[in-house]
Amino acid sequence: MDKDGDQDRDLPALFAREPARFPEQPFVNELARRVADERRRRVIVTRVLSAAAIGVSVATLIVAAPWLISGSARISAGLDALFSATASAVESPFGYVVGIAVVVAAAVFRRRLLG
Amino acid sequence: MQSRLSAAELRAAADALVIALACAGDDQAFTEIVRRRHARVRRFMYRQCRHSTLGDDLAQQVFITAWRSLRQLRSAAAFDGWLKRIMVTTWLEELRRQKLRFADAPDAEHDAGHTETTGERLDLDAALATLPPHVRLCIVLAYEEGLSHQEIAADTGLPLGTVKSHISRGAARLREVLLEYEGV
Repeated sequence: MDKDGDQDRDLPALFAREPARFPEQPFVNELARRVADERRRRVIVTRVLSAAAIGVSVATLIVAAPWLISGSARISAGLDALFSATASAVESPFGYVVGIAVVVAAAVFRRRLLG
Repeated sequence: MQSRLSAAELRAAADALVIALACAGDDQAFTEIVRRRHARVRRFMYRQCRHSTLGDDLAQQVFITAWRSLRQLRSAAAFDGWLKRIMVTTWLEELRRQKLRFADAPDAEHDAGHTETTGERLDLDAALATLPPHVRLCIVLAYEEGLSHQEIAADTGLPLGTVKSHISRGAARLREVLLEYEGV
């Protein structure tokens, strides 16, 4: 502590002299009870929030079901069109040439890598 | 959480172990910390507000805040400094909330329940009561908690110059008042 000078010695001594006594009970027991209450409250809040989160998820799923079904059907139709277009492109003579070129390029690249 | 140590083992355990257990969620270890530190925190609060019920409420608040944020504690060795900061913050928040005025007369309940018996002690409390709240806070942190001016500035958020002036003015005023008591 920064000191003013010798004069400052009397105050710490005065503060140190016979510290006030504070009985342990009921303070400590009361605090332990509050901590236990708070822990119990935390557990309850966690459980309620978990239950609420599950409930909200289920409700969202139920409410959004029509859109989810129609959306998935649309995605499925889109993917179907994409796959059939890709298949017809690959099965054409041009597709065969591109396929062979890709296989050859991959083999050359692999040989260069290995070395 | 069930404690890993019995009550007797906890009482005999080193501070660092008890703090580590409390940090791991052991409520009985936390109660042991409270048992070891309550007098210091309550004395600090009583010195600030001079009202035993309010002082004990604030001390409870300090320990509840500590319990809630125990996981933020970096090491057991830092516990006392960390608790001191919570003490100061709790008091400053109370001061802001209520713009609390220090009670003019000593709290009768405290005189009956908390056994402070010497004339010097009563004189010191009465003398402290004559100081403005922030000056009193700096004086108690300096002379009772043994903090340096820099530490007080860091804990209270007051500029270092203000802390120095508060302590210098407060100490002079305390001496004046205590001399008056001696003269009576």
